[in-house]
Amino acid sequence: MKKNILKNTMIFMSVIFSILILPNKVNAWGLQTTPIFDSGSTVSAYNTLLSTTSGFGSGFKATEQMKSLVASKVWETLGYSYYYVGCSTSYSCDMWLFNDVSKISVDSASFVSSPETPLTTTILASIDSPIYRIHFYQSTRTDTPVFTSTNPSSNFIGNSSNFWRSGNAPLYFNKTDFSTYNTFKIMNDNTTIYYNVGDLVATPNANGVYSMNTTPPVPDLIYNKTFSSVDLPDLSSIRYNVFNYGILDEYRFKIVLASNDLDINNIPDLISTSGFLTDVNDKIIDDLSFSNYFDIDYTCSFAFVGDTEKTCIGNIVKKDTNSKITGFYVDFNLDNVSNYKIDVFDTQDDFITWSAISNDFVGYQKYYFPTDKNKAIIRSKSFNNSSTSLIIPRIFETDETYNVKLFNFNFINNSLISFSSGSGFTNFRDDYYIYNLNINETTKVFPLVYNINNSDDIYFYLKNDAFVEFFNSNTLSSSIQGVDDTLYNNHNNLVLNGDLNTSIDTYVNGITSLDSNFQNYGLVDIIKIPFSYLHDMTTSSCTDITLPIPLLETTLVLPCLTGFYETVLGDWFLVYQTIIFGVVSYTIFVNLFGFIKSFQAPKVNEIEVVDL
Amino acid sequence: MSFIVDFMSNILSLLLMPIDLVIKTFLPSTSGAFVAIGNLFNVIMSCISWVISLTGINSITLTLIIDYTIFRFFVPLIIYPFKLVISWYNYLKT
Repeated sequence: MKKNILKNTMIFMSVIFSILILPNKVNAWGLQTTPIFDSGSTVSAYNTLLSTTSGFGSGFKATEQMKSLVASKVWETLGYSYYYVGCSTSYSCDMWLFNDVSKISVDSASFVSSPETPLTTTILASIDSPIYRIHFYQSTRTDTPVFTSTNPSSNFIGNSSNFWRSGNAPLYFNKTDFSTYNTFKIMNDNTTIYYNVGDLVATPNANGVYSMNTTPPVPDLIYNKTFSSVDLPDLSSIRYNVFNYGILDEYRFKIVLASNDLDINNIPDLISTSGFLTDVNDKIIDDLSFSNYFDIDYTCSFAFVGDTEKTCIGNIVKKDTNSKITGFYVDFNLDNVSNYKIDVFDTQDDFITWSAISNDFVGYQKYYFPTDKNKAIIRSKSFNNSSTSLIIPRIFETDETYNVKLFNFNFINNSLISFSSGSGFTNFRDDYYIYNLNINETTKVFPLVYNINNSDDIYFYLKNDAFVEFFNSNTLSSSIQGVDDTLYNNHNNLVLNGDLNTSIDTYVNGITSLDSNFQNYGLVDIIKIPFSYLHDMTTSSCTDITLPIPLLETTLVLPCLTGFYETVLGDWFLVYQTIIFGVVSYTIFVNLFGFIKSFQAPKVNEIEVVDL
Repeated sequence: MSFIVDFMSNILSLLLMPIDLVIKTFLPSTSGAFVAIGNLFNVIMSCISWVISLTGINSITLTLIIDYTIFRFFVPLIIYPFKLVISWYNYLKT
């Protein structure tokens, strides 16, 4: 008797203890990307034109007719600030530019500055192009506006195109595609302009419309880096900042990844190209931003030039009727040019669609965990609104002591809706499929592969357009700085991107909390798995079963049959379900009745009812 | 009824985790076997939704079955504290 009481007491205390210290559910957190581009933030107004004083720091000089001068900070990242300056029309504007501006080009003239000599230029606008912009870059990289105006930026009607680039990448323009532009400027963050911008500028025609020269400039600098499939953590990135204010109904560009032996005079079919690759020591991730205010189909022509030249041609971004960028699609075939990624942001409504593409589009791409990294995020996207299976990550390992865990973060409309951790994702053997993720337009899944032992020989394969990003706690800040992601903190509150470092810290803390919550070693999983599936069975939807067939390099897919039944059987399927429901209900009722009845007859009780 | 499952699942984790840790530390091969079994369970369980679709059972019926199953399995747990308290009472009374 005492033994039983002692046993029962221990069990009961365990229950109470469990309730009291029951671990909290895993905190909900995750990644969310946001565009960097801020299209409307006017820096300030400039009341009067500055004096005509020459020399450094004098500022701006114009005629009395000068009006509507606007400076808007449109880009600020990594401590760099970029400004647009609008000048209204058919007037002449004499400008004094700070001598720390390396170069500027406007319609009728272009100048090269030297650090000692201030720039002077004249802006001539045409009647047909009443307002134009000068893209202005202040190399001191402060937020202090150089040009401002008494008029608000809303008075500005801009016709311009701005290409921003960084690093040592070639930049190509076929000016025939910019015939309706009257202002053009190329900038980079090293205050070095690669081209004689004056060559890009032509005089206006009889109608006052400016056109560009038709001869594209020869690139004078080729980015020199050979990529390999295993250096993704040092991924060089591609960044585009394309602003189209409606003049062009089509914009084309070309990305050139080149090796040393690239023949820069034989780059095929350059229509108009802008691109750069950041250095490996720069940011890991850059972005491709489109700011489109009109119904524009963006098309692209990729040319990857190297030992083996491959070209991709395809539509990139197309707006739907709601002016939302709905997709990103590229047809390409690449062999030697390896990892790259492109992010696409819709800056109009903050909806983000993004893409990351590995070089092995149709097959599997092997990624290793770097030695100094222990976490990886796999990112993917959808091509269209339909649910598409995109990622089939496979984790391999050679040492059974490794622990790899995978967590999914599902977002719908920027809200975290579910969180799941992969159970049993420890000590993998070969050919273990983790997930076959279904992602639609509004759902983003961020699987996090977490290598507890920080080993370098865990690697996994990703299929289709998946992208993996490696990091660890120490390097996370620098590694994802370029992403400008919006993160979620541990309480599922959105952490805005204004304080990215805080967000990252929270993110790291979230990862740490995950560590402590998932220290299972096998036995727990065995017992918990049935519970978890029992718990999720009524809410989870059917997913197709995908079975890889060894040696044949193919996959057997068993589709869900509910839709098939409904199609084939029609209303008979409903009848079948009704009958099944009736049978089940009757059976349960009978069993439940017997179960309750047995309470009153402890001698035959099946459940060891209380022996009162 | 899902809270019961959560409750049980967390209790099991709490109780078994130290044991798991001991096994992992002193019997790594055994731990590996457990993990392999867990992985096998996981693979099998991941097919359940497809099997359900194969049977054509609708969600209402499925919910009814699962709720009843949970009820039958976990009622003993619910009444166990009462039984324990009564046993205490009987013990003290004697």
